[in-house]
Amino acid sequence: MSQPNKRQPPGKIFSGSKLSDFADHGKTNMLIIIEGEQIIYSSPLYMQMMGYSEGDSISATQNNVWENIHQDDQDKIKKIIREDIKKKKPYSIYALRVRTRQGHYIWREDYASYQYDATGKHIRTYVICRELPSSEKNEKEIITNELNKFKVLIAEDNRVNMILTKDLLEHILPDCQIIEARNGQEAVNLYKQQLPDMVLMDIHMPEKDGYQATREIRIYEDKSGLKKRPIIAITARIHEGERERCLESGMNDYLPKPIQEADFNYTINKFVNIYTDNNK
Amino acid sequence: MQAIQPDSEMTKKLYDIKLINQLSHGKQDLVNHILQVFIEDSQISLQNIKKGLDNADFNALRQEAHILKSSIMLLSIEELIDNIKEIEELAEKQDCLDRLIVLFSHLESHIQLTINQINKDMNAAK
Repeated sequence: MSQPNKRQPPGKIFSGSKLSDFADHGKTNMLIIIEGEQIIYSSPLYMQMMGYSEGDSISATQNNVWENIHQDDQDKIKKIIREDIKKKKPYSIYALRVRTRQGHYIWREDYASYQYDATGKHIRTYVICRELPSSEKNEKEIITNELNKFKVLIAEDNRVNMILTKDLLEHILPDCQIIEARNGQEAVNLYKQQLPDMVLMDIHMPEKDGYQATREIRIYEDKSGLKKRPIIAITARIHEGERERCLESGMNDYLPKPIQEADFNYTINKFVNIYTDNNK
Repeated sequence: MQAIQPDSEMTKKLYDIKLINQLSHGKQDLVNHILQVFIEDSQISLQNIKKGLDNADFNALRQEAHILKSSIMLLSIEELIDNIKEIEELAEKQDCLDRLIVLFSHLESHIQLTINQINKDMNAAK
Protein backbone atom coordinates (compact mmCIF):
# COMPACT_ATOMS: atom_id res chain seq x y z
CA MET A 1 0.00 0.00 0.00
CA SER A 2 1.34 3.43 -0.85
CA GLN A 3 1.76 5.75 2.08
CA PRO A 4 1.59 9.54 2.15
CA ASN A 5 4.93 11.32 1.94
CA LYS A 6 6.06 11.57 5.54
CA ARG A 7 8.10 14.69 4.88
CA GLN A 8 4.89 16.51 4.06
CA PRO A 9 2.30 15.64 6.69
CA PRO A 10 -1.04 15.98 4.91
CA GLY A 11 -2.43 18.09 7.72
CA LYS A 12 0.00 20.88 6.96
CA ILE A 13 -0.72 21.41 3.31
CA PHE A 14 -4.40 22.18 3.41
CA SER A 15 -5.41 25.68 2.53
CA GLY A 16 -8.72 27.19 1.66
CA SER A 17 -11.52 29.21 2.99
CA LYS A 18 -13.50 26.55 4.73
CA LEU A 19 -10.95 24.37 6.43
CA SER A 20 -12.13 25.45 9.87
CA ASP A 21 -15.54 23.97 9.11
CA PHE A 22 -13.83 20.62 8.98
CA ALA A 23 -11.07 21.06 11.52
CA ASP A 24 -13.18 22.70 14.22
CA HIS A 25 -16.47 21.03 13.61
CA GLY A 26 -16.10 18.68 16.53
CA LYS A 27 -16.70 15.70 14.27
CA THR A 28 -14.27 13.09 13.08
CA ASN A 29 -12.23 14.11 10.04
CA MET A 30 -11.08 11.49 7.60
CA LEU A 31 -8.41 11.58 4.97
CA ILE A 32 -8.15 10.23 1.44
CA ILE A 33 -5.17 10.83 -0.88
CA ILE A 34 -5.66 10.60 -4.64
CA GLU A 35 -3.04 10.47 -7.39
CA GLY A 36 -4.60 10.99 -10.78
CA GLU A 37 -7.89 9.23 -10.15
CA GLN A 38 -6.41 6.43 -8.08
CA ILE A 39 -6.88 6.36 -4.33
CA ILE A 40 -3.47 5.71 -2.78
CA TYR A 41 -4.38 6.13 0.86
CA SER A 42 -7.46 6.21 3.04
CA SER A 43 -7.20 6.70 6.76
CA PRO A 44 -8.38 4.13 9.31
CA LEU A 45 -10.96 6.69 10.48
CA TYR A 46 -12.39 6.78 6.99
CA MET A 47 -12.71 3.04 7.08
CA GLN A 48 -14.51 3.28 10.41
CA MET A 49 -16.99 5.75 8.96
CA MET A 50 -17.68 3.31 6.15
CA GLY A 51 -18.40 0.60 8.66
CA TYR A 52 -15.17 -1.40 8.42
CA SER A 53 -13.48 -2.69 11.54
CA GLU A 54 -9.75 -2.81 12.27
CA GLY A 55 -9.55 -6.46 11.34
CA ASP A 56 -10.80 -5.90 7.78
CA SER A 57 -8.33 -5.92 4.95
CA ILE A 58 -7.55 -2.31 4.17
CA SER A 59 -6.03 -3.04 0.78
CA ALA A 60 -9.29 -4.60 -0.34
CA THR A 61 -11.22 -1.53 0.69
CA GLN A 62 -8.86 0.94 -1.01
CA ASN A 63 -10.38 0.03 -4.35
CA ASN A 64 -13.87 0.55 -3.06
CA VAL A 65 -13.48 4.24 -2.22
CA TRP A 66 -14.65 5.31 -5.67
CA GLU A 67 -17.06 2.41 -6.07
CA ASN A 68 -18.83 3.27 -2.84
CA ILE A 69 -19.75 6.70 -4.11
CA HIS A 70 -23.37 6.85 -5.29
CA GLN A 71 -23.57 6.26 -9.05
CA ASP A 72 -25.26 9.62 -9.61
CA ASP A 73 -22.45 11.44 -7.78
CA GLN A 74 -19.41 9.46 -8.93
CA ASP A 75 -18.97 10.96 -12.41
CA LYS A 76 -19.95 14.38 -11.12
CA ILE A 77 -17.20 14.33 -8.47
CA LYS A 78 -14.56 13.06 -10.89
CA LYS A 79 -15.56 15.81 -13.32
CA ILE A 80 -15.34 18.46 -10.58
CA ILE A 81 -11.84 17.29 -9.62
CA ARG A 82 -10.67 17.10 -13.25
CA GLU A 83 -11.95 20.60 -14.03
CA ASP A 84 -10.59 22.08 -10.80
CA ILE A 85 -7.13 20.72 -11.59
CA LYS A 86 -7.37 21.99 -15.16
CA LYS A 87 -8.17 25.46 -13.81
CA LYS A 88 -5.41 25.06 -11.18
CA LYS A 89 -7.83 25.72 -8.35
CA PRO A 90 -6.34 25.31 -4.86
CA TYR A 91 -9.32 23.52 -3.35
CA SER A 92 -12.91 22.46 -3.80
CA ILE A 93 -15.78 21.69 -1.46
CA TYR A 94 -18.57 19.34 -2.43
CA ALA A 95 -21.14 16.99 -0.97
CA LEU A 96 -21.79 13.43 -2.12
CA ARG A 97 -23.48 10.19 -1.09
CA VAL A 98 -21.46 7.12 -0.14
CA ARG A 99 -22.56 3.57 0.54
CA THR A 100 -21.36 2.11 3.84
CA ARG A 101 -20.30 -1.51 4.29
CA GLN A 102 -23.75 -2.16 5.71
CA GLY A 103 -25.22 -1.09 2.39
CA HIS A 104 -26.98 2.17 3.30
CA TYR A 105 -26.08 5.57 1.91
CA ILE A 106 -24.81 8.47 4.01
CA TRP A 107 -24.11 12.06 2.99
CA ARG A 108 -20.49 13.11 3.13
CA GLU A 109 -18.90 16.52 2.64
CA ASP A 110 -15.40 16.67 1.13
CA TYR A 111 -12.74 19.33 1.21
CA ALA A 112 -10.35 18.51 -1.64
CA SER A 113 -7.01 20.32 -1.59
CA TYR A 114 -4.99 20.14 -4.80
CA GLN A 115 -1.21 20.10 -4.57
CA TYR A 116 0.82 21.44 -7.53
CA ASP A 117 4.53 21.70 -8.11
CA ALA A 118 6.33 24.97 -8.94
CA THR A 119 5.55 24.56 -12.64
CA GLY A 120 1.84 24.22 -11.92
CA LYS A 121 1.72 20.46 -12.56
CA HIS A 122 -0.78 18.67 -10.37
CA ILE A 123 0.80 16.18 -7.99
CA ARG A 124 -1.85 14.90 -5.60
CA THR A 125 -5.28 15.60 -4.23
CA TYR A 126 -5.76 15.44 -0.49
CA VAL A 127 -9.34 15.04 0.64
CA ILE A 128 -10.62 15.45 4.14
CA CYS A 129 -14.19 14.44 4.61
CA ARG A 130 -16.84 14.29 7.23
CA GLU A 131 -20.22 12.69 7.52
CA LEU A 132 -22.87 15.27 6.83
CA PRO A 133 -26.14 15.08 8.76
CA SER A 134 -29.03 15.53 6.37
CA SER A 135 -29.95 18.81 8.06
CA GLU A 136 -26.67 20.32 6.90
CA LYS A 137 -26.82 19.24 3.28
CA ASN A 138 -27.43 22.75 2.05
CA GLU A 139 -24.59 24.29 4.03
CA LYS A 140 -22.21 23.98 1.09
CA GLU A 141 -24.41 26.12 -1.10
CA ILE A 142 -24.86 28.71 1.63
CA ILE A 143 -21.14 29.07 2.27
CA THR A 144 -20.28 29.06 -1.43
CA ASN A 145 -22.77 31.82 -2.08
CA GLU A 146 -21.26 33.91 0.69
CA LEU A 147 -17.80 33.46 -0.80
CA ASN A 148 -19.06 34.34 -4.27
CA LYS A 149 -20.04 37.70 -2.89
CA PHE A 150 -16.73 38.16 -1.09
CA LYS A 151 -15.26 41.48 -2.17
CA VAL A 152 -11.60 42.42 -1.83
CA LEU A 153 -10.28 45.93 -2.34
CA ILE A 154 -6.63 46.05 -3.41
CA ALA A 155 -4.91 49.43 -3.00
CA GLU A 156 -1.65 49.30 -4.93
CA ASP A 157 0.17 51.82 -7.11
CA ASN A 158 2.57 49.39 -8.77
CA ARG A 159 0.95 47.62 -11.73
CA VAL A 160 3.24 44.59 -11.53
CA ASN A 161 2.31 44.06 -7.89
CA MET A 162 -1.37 44.60 -8.66
CA ILE A 163 -1.34 41.90 -11.36
CA LEU A 164 0.43 39.39 -9.13
CA THR A 165 -1.69 40.14 -6.06
CA LYS A 166 -4.88 39.73 -8.07
CA ASP A 167 -3.67 36.44 -9.49
CA LEU A 168 -2.70 35.09 -6.06
CA LEU A 169 -6.04 36.14 -4.65
CA GLU A 170 -8.00 34.57 -7.50
CA HIS A 171 -6.05 31.39 -6.89
CA ILE A 172 -7.37 31.19 -3.33
CA LEU A 173 -10.80 32.74 -3.90
CA PRO A 174 -11.65 32.04 -7.55
CA ASP A 175 -15.10 33.62 -7.32
CA CYS A 176 -14.35 36.72 -5.29
CA GLN A 177 -14.87 40.22 -6.64
CA ILE A 178 -11.75 42.37 -6.82
CA ILE A 179 -11.86 46.16 -6.65
CA GLU A 180 -8.71 48.06 -7.64
CA ALA A 181 -7.50 51.36 -6.21
CA ARG A 182 -4.35 53.11 -7.46
CA ASN A 183 -3.80 55.39 -4.48
CA GLY A 184 -4.89 55.92 -0.89
CA GLN A 185 -7.62 58.45 -1.66
CA GLU A 186 -9.15 56.16 -4.27
CA ALA A 187 -9.02 53.33 -1.71
CA VAL A 188 -11.04 55.37 0.81
CA ASN A 189 -13.58 56.42 -1.83
CA LEU A 190 -14.01 52.89 -3.18
CA TYR A 191 -14.27 51.50 0.33
CA LYS A 192 -17.21 53.81 1.07
CA GLN A 193 -18.91 52.99 -2.24
CA GLN A 194 -18.36 49.24 -2.34
CA LEU A 195 -17.94 48.17 1.31
CA PRO A 196 -15.51 45.33 0.55
CA ASP A 197 -15.09 42.40 2.93
CA MET A 198 -11.32 42.75 3.03
CA VAL A 199 -8.71 45.36 2.07
CA LEU A 200 -5.15 44.71 0.95
CA MET A 201 -3.40 48.03 1.49
CA ASP A 202 -0.07 49.18 0.12
CA ILE A 203 1.51 51.68 2.48
CA HIS A 204 3.41 54.07 0.31
CA MET A 205 1.00 55.45 -2.25
CA PRO A 206 0.49 58.84 -3.87
CA GLU A 207 -2.12 61.33 -2.64
CA LYS A 208 -2.73 59.46 0.59
CA ASP A 209 -0.59 56.75 2.19
CA GLY A 210 -1.93 53.46 3.52
CA TYR A 211 -1.80 54.61 7.16
CA GLN A 212 -3.96 57.65 6.53
CA ALA A 213 -6.35 55.75 4.25
CA THR A 214 -6.79 53.12 6.97
CA ARG A 215 -7.44 55.73 9.67
CA GLU A 216 -10.13 57.34 7.48
CA ILE A 217 -11.74 53.98 6.76
CA ARG A 218 -11.83 53.15 10.50
CA ILE A 219 -13.40 56.53 11.31
CA TYR A 220 -15.98 55.99 8.58
CA GLU A 221 -16.80 52.51 9.94
CA ASP A 222 -17.24 53.92 13.46
CA LYS A 223 -19.44 56.80 12.33
CA SER A 224 -21.56 54.58 10.10
CA GLY A 225 -21.88 51.78 12.66
CA LEU A 226 -20.24 49.34 10.27
CA LYS A 227 -18.47 46.15 11.24
CA LYS A 228 -14.68 46.61 10.96
CA ARG A 229 -13.37 44.85 7.87
CA PRO A 230 -9.88 43.31 7.92
CA ILE A 231 -7.24 45.60 6.42
CA ILE A 232 -3.94 43.89 5.61
CA ALA A 233 -0.84 45.95 4.85
CA ILE A 234 1.36 44.82 1.98
CA THR A 235 4.53 46.83 1.83
CA ALA A 236 8.12 46.87 0.64
CA ARG A 237 9.23 49.41 3.21
CA ILE A 238 12.06 48.36 5.43
CA HIS A 239 11.80 50.65 8.41
CA GLU A 240 11.88 49.22 11.89
CA GLY A 241 8.60 49.44 13.73
CA GLU A 242 6.59 49.51 10.54
CA ARG A 243 4.47 46.55 11.58
CA GLU A 244 3.57 48.34 14.82
CA ARG A 245 2.74 51.49 12.89
CA CYS A 246 0.42 49.53 10.62
CA LEU A 247 -1.40 48.04 13.60
CA GLU A 248 -1.61 51.44 15.31
CA SER A 249 -3.26 52.96 12.25
CA GLY A 250 -5.98 50.31 12.46
CA MET A 251 -4.72 47.55 10.18
CA ASN A 252 -5.16 43.93 11.25
CA ASP A 253 -2.08 42.33 9.74
CA TYR A 254 1.03 42.92 7.70
CA LEU A 255 2.66 41.19 4.71
CA PRO A 256 6.12 42.18 3.42
CA LYS A 257 6.98 42.52 -0.27
CA PRO A 258 8.03 40.72 -2.33
CA ILE A 259 5.05 38.58 -1.42
CA GLN A 260 5.71 35.02 -0.32
CA GLU A 261 2.84 32.82 -1.43
CA ALA A 262 2.64 30.69 1.72
CA ASP A 263 2.42 33.77 3.97
CA PHE A 264 -0.09 35.39 1.65
CA ASN A 265 -2.33 32.30 1.55
CA TYR A 266 -2.12 31.82 5.31
CA THR A 267 -3.05 35.42 6.08
CA ILE A 268 -5.88 35.66 3.55
CA ASN A 269 -7.34 32.34 4.62
CA LYS A 270 -7.19 33.37 8.26
CA PHE A 271 -9.44 36.36 7.62
CA VAL A 272 -11.70 34.55 5.15
CA ASN A 273 -12.26 31.88 7.78
CA ILE A 274 -13.28 34.53 10.30
CA TYR A 275 -15.64 36.02 7.70
CA THR A 276 -17.13 32.60 6.91
CA ASP A 277 -17.60 31.74 10.57
CA ASN A 278 -19.24 35.11 11.28
CA ASN A 279 -21.64 34.71 8.39
CA LYS A 280 -22.92 31.26 9.23
CA MET B 1 16.26 55.12 -26.06
CA GLN B 2 18.27 51.94 -26.64
CA ALA B 3 21.55 51.85 -24.73
CA ILE B 4 24.65 50.28 -26.22
CA GLN B 5 25.39 47.05 -24.43
CA PRO B 6 28.90 45.89 -23.76
CA ASP B 7 29.25 42.19 -24.59
CA SER B 8 30.17 41.30 -21.01
CA GLU B 9 26.93 42.83 -19.74
CA MET B 10 24.84 40.99 -22.29
CA THR B 11 26.19 37.59 -21.29
CA LYS B 12 25.51 38.18 -17.60
CA LYS B 13 21.95 37.47 -16.42
CA LEU B 14 20.67 40.79 -15.12
CA TYR B 15 17.35 39.63 -13.74
CA ASP B 16 15.71 36.49 -12.42
CA ILE B 17 12.05 35.51 -12.84
CA LYS B 18 12.17 32.62 -10.37
CA LEU B 19 9.95 34.44 -7.86
CA ILE B 20 7.49 35.57 -10.54
CA ASN B 21 7.33 32.03 -11.87
CA GLN B 22 6.58 30.74 -8.40
CA LEU B 23 3.91 33.32 -7.67
CA SER B 24 2.25 32.92 -11.06
CA HIS B 25 2.30 29.10 -10.83
CA GLY B 26 4.26 28.85 -14.03
CA LYS B 27 1.63 30.55 -16.20
CA GLN B 28 3.80 31.75 -19.08
CA ASP B 29 1.24 34.26 -20.39
CA LEU B 30 1.08 35.91 -17.00
CA VAL B 31 4.89 35.99 -16.66
CA ASN B 32 5.20 37.62 -20.10
CA HIS B 33 2.50 40.12 -19.24
CA ILE B 34 4.30 41.05 -16.02
CA LEU B 35 7.60 41.51 -17.87
CA GLN B 36 5.88 43.67 -20.47
CA VAL B 37 4.32 45.83 -17.76
CA PHE B 38 7.72 46.13 -16.06
CA ILE B 39 9.28 47.32 -19.32
CA GLU B 40 6.59 49.98 -19.77
CA ASP B 41 6.34 51.15 -16.18
CA SER B 42 10.04 51.18 -15.30
CA GLN B 43 10.65 53.64 -18.11
CA ILE B 44 7.87 55.87 -16.82
CA SER B 45 9.37 55.63 -13.34
CA LEU B 46 12.80 56.63 -14.68
CA GLN B 47 11.29 59.68 -16.38
CA ASN B 48 9.48 60.67 -13.18
CA ILE B 49 12.59 60.19 -11.03
CA LYS B 50 14.54 62.35 -13.47
CA LYS B 51 11.85 65.02 -13.26
CA GLY B 52 12.01 64.84 -9.47
CA LEU B 53 15.79 65.33 -9.58
CA ASP B 54 15.55 68.21 -12.04
CA ASN B 55 13.02 69.99 -9.84
CA ALA B 56 14.55 68.85 -6.53
CA ASP B 57 11.09 67.43 -5.76
CA PHE B 58 12.11 64.90 -3.13
CA ASN B 59 8.59 63.70 -2.43
CA ALA B 60 7.95 62.79 -6.06
CA LEU B 61 11.37 61.21 -6.25
CA ARG B 62 10.81 59.09 -3.15
CA GLN B 63 7.38 58.03 -4.34
CA GLU B 64 8.61 56.92 -7.73
CA ALA B 65 11.69 55.19 -6.31
CA HIS B 66 9.42 53.25 -3.97
CA ILE B 67 7.24 52.07 -6.85
CA LEU B 68 10.27 50.99 -8.87
CA LYS B 69 11.85 49.28 -5.85
CA SER B 70 9.03 46.71 -5.64
CA SER B 71 9.51 45.74 -9.27
CA ILE B 72 13.30 45.59 -8.97
CA MET B 73 12.99 43.27 -5.99
CA LEU B 74 10.41 41.12 -7.70
CA LEU B 75 12.63 40.68 -10.76
CA SER B 76 15.67 40.17 -8.51
CA ILE B 77 17.72 42.79 -10.33
CA GLU B 78 20.50 42.35 -7.79
CA GLU B 79 22.68 45.13 -9.18
CA LEU B 80 19.99 47.70 -8.39
CA ILE B 81 18.49 46.59 -5.09
CA ASP B 82 20.87 48.61 -2.88
CA ASN B 83 20.88 51.44 -5.41
CA ILE B 84 17.12 51.95 -5.37
CA LYS B 85 16.90 51.58 -1.59
CA GLU B 86 19.53 54.31 -1.21
CA ILE B 87 17.69 56.59 -3.63
CA GLU B 88 14.48 56.14 -1.63
CA GLU B 89 16.21 56.74 1.70
CA LEU B 90 18.10 59.84 0.54
CA ALA B 91 14.94 61.24 -1.03
CA GLU B 92 13.14 60.71 2.25
CA LYS B 93 15.88 62.60 4.09
CA GLN B 94 15.70 65.27 1.35
CA ASP B 95 19.46 65.23 1.19
CA CYS B 96 22.51 64.59 -1.03
CA LEU B 97 21.20 65.67 -4.41
CA ASP B 98 24.66 65.10 -5.93
CA ARG B 99 24.72 61.52 -4.71
CA LEU B 100 21.18 61.01 -5.97
CA ILE B 101 22.24 62.13 -9.44
CA VAL B 102 25.08 59.58 -9.47
CA LEU B 103 22.79 56.83 -8.23
CA PHE B 104 20.16 57.70 -10.81
CA SER B 105 22.68 57.58 -13.62
CA HIS B 106 23.57 54.01 -12.71
CA LEU B 107 19.90 53.09 -12.22
CA GLU B 108 18.92 54.44 -15.62
CA SER B 109 21.66 52.70 -17.55
CA HIS B 110 21.23 49.38 -15.77
CA ILE B 111 17.43 49.35 -16.14
CA GLN B 112 17.93 49.93 -19.84
CA LEU B 113 20.35 47.01 -20.08
CA THR B 114 17.91 44.82 -18.19
CA ILE B 115 15.03 45.82 -20.47
CA ASN B 116 17.14 45.01 -23.50
CA GLN B 117 17.93 41.61 -22.07
CA ILE B 118 14.27 40.91 -21.22
CA ASN B 119 13.25 41.87 -24.76
CA LYS B 120 15.94 39.65 -26.20
CA ASP B 121 14.88 36.71 -24.01
CA MET B 122 11.21 37.19 -24.86
CA ASN B 123 11.94 37.32 -28.57
CA ALA B 124 14.09 34.21 -28.34
CA ALA B 125 11.25 32.37 -26.58
CA LYS B 126 8.74 33.20 -29.33
